[in-house]
Amino acid sequence: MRKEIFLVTAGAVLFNIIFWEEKLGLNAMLFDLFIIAAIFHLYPESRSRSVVLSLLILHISSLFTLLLHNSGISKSAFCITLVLLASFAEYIHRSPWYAGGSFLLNLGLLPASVAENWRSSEFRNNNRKSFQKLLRFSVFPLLLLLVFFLIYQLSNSVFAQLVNDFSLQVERFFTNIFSWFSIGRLLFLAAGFYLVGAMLLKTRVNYFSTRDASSTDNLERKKILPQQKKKEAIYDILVGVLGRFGSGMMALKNVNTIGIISLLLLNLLLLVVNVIDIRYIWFDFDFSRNANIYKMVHEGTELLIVSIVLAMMLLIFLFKGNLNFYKRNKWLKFGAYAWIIQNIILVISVLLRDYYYIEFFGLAYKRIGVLFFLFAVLTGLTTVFIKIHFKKSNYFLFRVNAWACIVMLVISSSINWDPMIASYNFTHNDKVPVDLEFIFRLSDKALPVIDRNVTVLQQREKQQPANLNWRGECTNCYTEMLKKRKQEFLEKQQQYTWLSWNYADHSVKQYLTGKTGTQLSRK
Amino acid sequence: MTNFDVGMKIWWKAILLNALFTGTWAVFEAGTGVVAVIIIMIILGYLITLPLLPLVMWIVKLMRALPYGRKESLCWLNTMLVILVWAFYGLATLVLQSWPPDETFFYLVATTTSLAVLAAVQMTKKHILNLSATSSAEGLAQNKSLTYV
Repeated sequence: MRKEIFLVTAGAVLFNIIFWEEKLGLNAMLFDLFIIAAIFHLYPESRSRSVVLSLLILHISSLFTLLLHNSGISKSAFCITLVLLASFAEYIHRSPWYAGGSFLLNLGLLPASVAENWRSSEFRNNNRKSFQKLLRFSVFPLLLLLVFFLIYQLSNSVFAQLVNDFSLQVERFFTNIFSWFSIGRLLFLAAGFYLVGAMLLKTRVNYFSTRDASSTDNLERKKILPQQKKKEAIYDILVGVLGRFGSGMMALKNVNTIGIISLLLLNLLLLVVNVIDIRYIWFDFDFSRNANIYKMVHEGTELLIVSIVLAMMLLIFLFKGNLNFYKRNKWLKFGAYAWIIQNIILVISVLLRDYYYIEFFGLAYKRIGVLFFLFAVLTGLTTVFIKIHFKKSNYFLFRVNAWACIVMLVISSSINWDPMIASYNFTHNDKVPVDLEFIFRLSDKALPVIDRNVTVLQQREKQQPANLNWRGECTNCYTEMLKKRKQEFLEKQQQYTWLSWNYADHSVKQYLTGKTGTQLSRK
Repeated sequence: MTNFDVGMKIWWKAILLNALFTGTWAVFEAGTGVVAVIIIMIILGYLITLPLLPLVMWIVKLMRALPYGRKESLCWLNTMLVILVWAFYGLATLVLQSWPPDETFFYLVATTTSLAVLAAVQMTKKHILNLSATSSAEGLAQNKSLTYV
C-alpha cells in the first residue's frame, strides 16, 4: 500500500477514535500533530517555505486559544488555518483565496486522487484479477440461490423455521457488533477519511495554483484591441449608458471625466454626512436629548457599513484597468484619495456610534463584531489607497486583505468573549439593566460569571411576573434556569473523556463542582 | 452515447435494482404479499427521483472533464452518486416530518440505494468508458487540430 493511502487511512481511524462523541479539546492537538507531521512528510519541500511557516505559527496560536477558551471563534480559526496550511504546503500559493480554491478542488476530486494512489499500490496489482474473477463468477450462482431459497422458504415450513432461527442469530450477532460500531460511526469514519484525504492528497489539477502564479501585484498597462474590448462584460454596460462616448479612441478619457464628476458629487454628499456626524456624534453627543440621535445611532450603523463597502467597490471598479496609466488622471486620483479619507472619517463615526451603543446598552456579539469589521474596513481602505497610489492590482488588494482577515481572526480568538461580555454587562448593571435573555444565550463558559451575579437575577425575578412559553416553561425564572444550565453542563461533561479536555470547560467545572461541594458541606 | 443517455441508464437501473434489493428484503420480512406494493414503489421511485436525473447527467458531464484515467474517473463518479443519494435522503428527512420512521430505517434505505447505484454504474460501465473515450478524443482533436475519421 502506498504511503499516501496508509496515512489517509491511519488519519481516518485516528479521527474516528478521538473525535467520536467528543468535543474539540486535547483531541484537536493530537489530530493536529498527526496531520502536520503527515503533510511535512509527504511534501518535504514545503518545510522551508516562509508562507507555510507563518501559517504554522498562526495555526499553533489558534490551537492554543482553542485549548484555552474553546470558543466558536477559536474553533473556526483552528479549522481555517489548518485547511490553509495544508493547501499552502501542497501547492505553490501566495493568495489565501486561491489556496482555499485548491482545497475545495482537493475535496471535490478526492475519490479520483485516492483511486490514482490506490492503482499504483502493490496490493491492487497482485489481487485485482483474482478478486474480479471471484466477483464475476459469483453473481449468477448467488442470484439463482436467492430465487430457490425464497421458493423453498415459502413452500417448506420446517425450512422456514430453520431460516428464521438462523436469521435471528445473525441479527443478534450484528446487533452486538453495531452496539460498539454503529452505522453512524461508520459514516463518521467515512467523513474522517474524506476530510483527512482532502488535507493530505494533492489533486492532479493545478488550476488555482497556476492562476495564482500568473497573477501579479503590480498592474501592467495592456493594449486592448477593440475586438477584445467588445468581449468584456462591462463594455456593453458602458456603451449602453454612454452611447458612442463609451467606445472608440476617447473612451478612456470619457470614463475619466465621468469618474471625476462622480467622485466630486459623492465627496460633496459625504462631506455633508460627515459634518453632521462630527457635529452630533463626535462632539456634544447626548443620547437622551433627542430621539432622532437615538435613531441615528441605532439604525445608521448597518447602512453606513454598506456604504463604506460600496465606496471601496466603486474605487476598485474605477481603477481596475488602464485608467491607472492615463496621463490626465490626477484629479480622479485626488477625488479617490479624498473619498478614502472621508470614508475613514465615516468609519470613526460608526466606531463612535458603536461605542455609545455599548456604553448605553452593554456588550453583545454584534457590537463586538462591528468593531472587528471596522478594523477590517480600515485595512481595506488603506490597501485601496496603496492600490491606487502604487498602481497595484486587484489580486494584491484581495490577497493582502485576506491575510489581514486571517490574522484578525486568530487575534480575536485569543479573547474569551462570553465571560467577558457577561462580566462587562453585570459590572455596568447600575447604568444599564442587563439583558438577561441575551445573557442566558451565552455559552456555558459564562456560567461562573452569571452565578456570581445571582442577586441581579433574583432582583429581576421579583420585579416581573413569570412568563410562560407554549410548552409551559418559564422563560424569565432566571435562578431556576441557571440551576438547570449548571446541571446540564455537569451532565454533559460527564459524557466526555480526557480527549475533550480544555481549560475553559475545566475551570467552569472546577468552579461549579467546588461551589456545589461547598453548598453540600454547609447543608 | 451522450451524457443524457448514460445518466438515464444509471438512473433507471439504480431505481430498478434498489426495488429488487428492498423487495427481496421485504419478502423476507413480510411475505409475498408485498410484491404489489413493490411495483407501486418502483413507479413512485421513478416519479420522485425524476428531479435527480439532471443532476446525474451533470455529474457524468463533470466526470468527462476530469483529467484522470478511466478507473479514477469511474471511482469519482461512484462516490459523487453515493453522496447524491445520501444528500437526497438527508433532504427528505428535513422536508418530510413523518419520514424516516427511525434512524435504522434511514440507514438501511440509504445503504441499499447506494449499493443499487454502485451496481447500476458497474452495469453501465461500458457506456461510461465509451463516453469518456469520446470526450478524450474530442479533446485531443481540439487541442492538436487532429481530425478523426
